[in-house]
Order: sequence, then C-alpha cells, then structure tokens
Amino acid sequence: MPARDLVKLLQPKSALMQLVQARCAQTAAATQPARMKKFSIYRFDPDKPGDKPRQQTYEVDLNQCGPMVLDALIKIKDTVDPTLTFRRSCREGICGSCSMNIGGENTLACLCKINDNSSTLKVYPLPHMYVIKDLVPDMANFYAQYESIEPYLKKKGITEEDIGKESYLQSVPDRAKLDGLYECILCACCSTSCPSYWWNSDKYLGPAVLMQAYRWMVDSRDDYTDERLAMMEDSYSVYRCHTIMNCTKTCPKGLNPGLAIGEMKKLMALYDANKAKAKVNAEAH
Amino acid sequence: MAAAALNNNVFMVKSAGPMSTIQAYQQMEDFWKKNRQLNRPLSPHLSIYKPQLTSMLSLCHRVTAVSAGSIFMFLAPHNFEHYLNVIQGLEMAPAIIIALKYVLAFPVSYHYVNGIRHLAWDWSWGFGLERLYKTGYFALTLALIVASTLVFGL
Repeated sequence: MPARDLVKLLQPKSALMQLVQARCAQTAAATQPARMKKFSIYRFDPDKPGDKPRQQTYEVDLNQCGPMVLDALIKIKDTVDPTLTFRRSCREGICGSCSMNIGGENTLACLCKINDNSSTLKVYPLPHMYVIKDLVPDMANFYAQYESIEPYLKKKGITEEDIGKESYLQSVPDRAKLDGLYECILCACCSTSCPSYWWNSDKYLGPAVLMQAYRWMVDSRDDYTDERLAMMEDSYSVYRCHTIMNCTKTCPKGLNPGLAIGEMKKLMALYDANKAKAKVNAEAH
Repeated sequence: MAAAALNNNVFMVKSAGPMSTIQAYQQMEDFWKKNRQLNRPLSPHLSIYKPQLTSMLSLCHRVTAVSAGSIFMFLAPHNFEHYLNVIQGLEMAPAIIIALKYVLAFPVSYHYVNGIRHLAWDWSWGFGLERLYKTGYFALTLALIVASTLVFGL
C-alpha cells in the first residue's frame, strides 16, 4: 500500500501517522529542486613548486548534503574534488580536528551549521598559521607550547614507587574549580583568533595553553602552583594578553579562556614571586 | 645542547624542568626552522577575520590612546588664546567645528571610560560573554555622551 493511502486510514496525530508524514516529507525532499550553496575554499598545494594560495569555489546541493559545514567538505571531497585536504575525525565536536575559519570566525566545521542563504561561504585554515596543505595548518608549535607548561599532576615528596598506592582526594568545591577548564579539546580556535598570538606566537603562549596552565595552577592536588606561576614571569608568556577577548567569543565549546587568563594575572599579582623563585632555584640545585 | 641554550632564559624553572619541557623548547625551535625552510605560506588573518565588538573596541582603545595625546597640546609654544584666534580666523562652517571638537573629545572620553573596563578585568570581573558585550556597548554609549557634553556643554 502506498504511504499516502495509509495516511487516510490513520488517526491524525497518532505516532504512526507522524512517522508516515515524516517519511513522505523525505521522499518529497528528494524530488525538490536543488538548493545550491557556494563554498569558497582556501587551496594550497605544496607539491606544485611555486604554488600560490588561492580560493576555489565549489557548489553543493544542500538537499543532498548533511547540515554541517564538515558534511559539505566531505561531500565535495567525495563527489567533486578528491584533492581537497582537511582534518576531521569525530564529527561531533569532541576531537578538535576540524577547527578552521568559517565565515570569518574560527570554529569546528562539524559544529557549524551551513547558513541556508544565497551568499558564498568562505572557508580558510586557522588564521596566521603555516599551511601544510589546503585547510591543514602546522600545529607543532601549539602542541610544543602545551607541553612546555607541564600539563600533568606534579607532587612533592613522591617517588616512582609511591605512584598508584593511594588516590588523591579532592573536595567538591575544589573539584568545581576545574569546571569550565578541563573541557578544552585543544582545537586552537581561540589561540588563532587572538591578534596578540598572531604577532607573537613564538613567545606568547596564547589563550588555549594559558587556560590549561591555569587549570593545573588551581588544581588542589598539584603541589607546584608557585613554580607554575614563576614560569610566567616574563613580559611575553602571559602578559601579551591585552584582553581583546576574541578567544571567548570564538570558543566552539563555550569556554572562557579570557577569564582564566584574567584569574591567572590576579594570582600573579598576589603571590610571593621572590619566594617562588627561591623555591625554583632550591629545586634546581 | 638544549639545556645549555635554556640557561639564558629569564628563570631557572625553564631549564630545571623535566625532559619533556626541554624537548618542548627544542620542538618550538624545530618548528620555526622547518616552516621557514619549506617556505610555507601563512594563512590569512587580519584581512579575513570578522570584525566584532571584542576586537574592535580593543583596537579603538589603542588608537584612542595615541590620539588622546592631543590633550598635550597645552605644551604648544603659544598660549590657548592664540590658537583659538587662528581657528576662528579660518571661519569654518559650524558642522566642521563640531566634528573637529568630537575628534578631540571622543578619544579622551572613550579611552577613559574603557580604561575603567580594563580595571574591572584586572579584578577578573566582567569576563562573561554577555557581560562583555553589555559593558562594551555601555562604554561606547557613555563615551559618546561624555564627548557630546564636552563638545556642546562646555
């Protein structure tokens, strides 16, 4: 029996009725006229000697494509141009691979809905990064900066044998201090939206890494808060932050790196820098 | 090698860190060397990033810091009356006079008002996105009101 005839037999508003209606709508969508959307995508091919970066425009029928920008990129790669290169993995905003500049703002392609209007959507790699190919930037400096802040629990008076013997307990309020910090997926959207980071990424750590530095400073189980603060005692590492706040505006996870840096600057103003330096030097000798 | 290079750093903590920290600084060095050697292009930044309240107000704060330097015109060689006479002698249209007054008044008022915002941030107040936008629009409006008072009220 065709679906449309089935509708006549059913009570309106019944669950099956709604299911059938939805099914009919999908069938109808397939025969609708194409909804074409233009994507202007940054291209650069390192294997062509002397290749200059350029914008290439692709057209995608939104009726034949998933709702997110990542769906469109995959559609283009599968059906139009297999040379288009980008990073992606989880397609649900938890891996941080598909971060890029979409319509002028940094975000994750998998969390960014395609705007169904007639304008061309511009897609660039993360801003002010060395481009390996197309939408793939070199993240090595960003990861090295993350490594440099020692993003792991550090205890005093602990030997290798002690590890794993007892769990380090935390009160509920102490654990709550880590909320809004630990959720960061290191997609680098915030750091590469920050003009200070654009001009000083060799010496300034950038919002993402600073937020993680702060995350370990306020962890009640960590014994190296003062030493971690002392690491920031130069005019670049943290003080290149001028509260522009592009970081918080762009974070696809809704976190607030600007606040974390603000809190860190406050800690820097209040802690005893000389005592911390003495501690660091005592440890070194 | 890496440890020796790091001894020049501002604080001992960087050279005293565990192996991974020293490796991290080595990786950074390799990163710059490699990318410059491969002559990779830099992705576009200032020209493609969407102008938004956050960055525009910050930019405005910097620009007004420079142009607010106009208040130092009292250091000019002649007294105020002399320059007033010069300007009055030009017989400019009132609209131009008012515009010029705004050019002098707005940088001072905006930089002052937004400076209070910066002080609040130093106490880590006002970082939430909603509050950021509210205080941003408020600072802009208040600066315009103060500038208008200076232009018309004095």
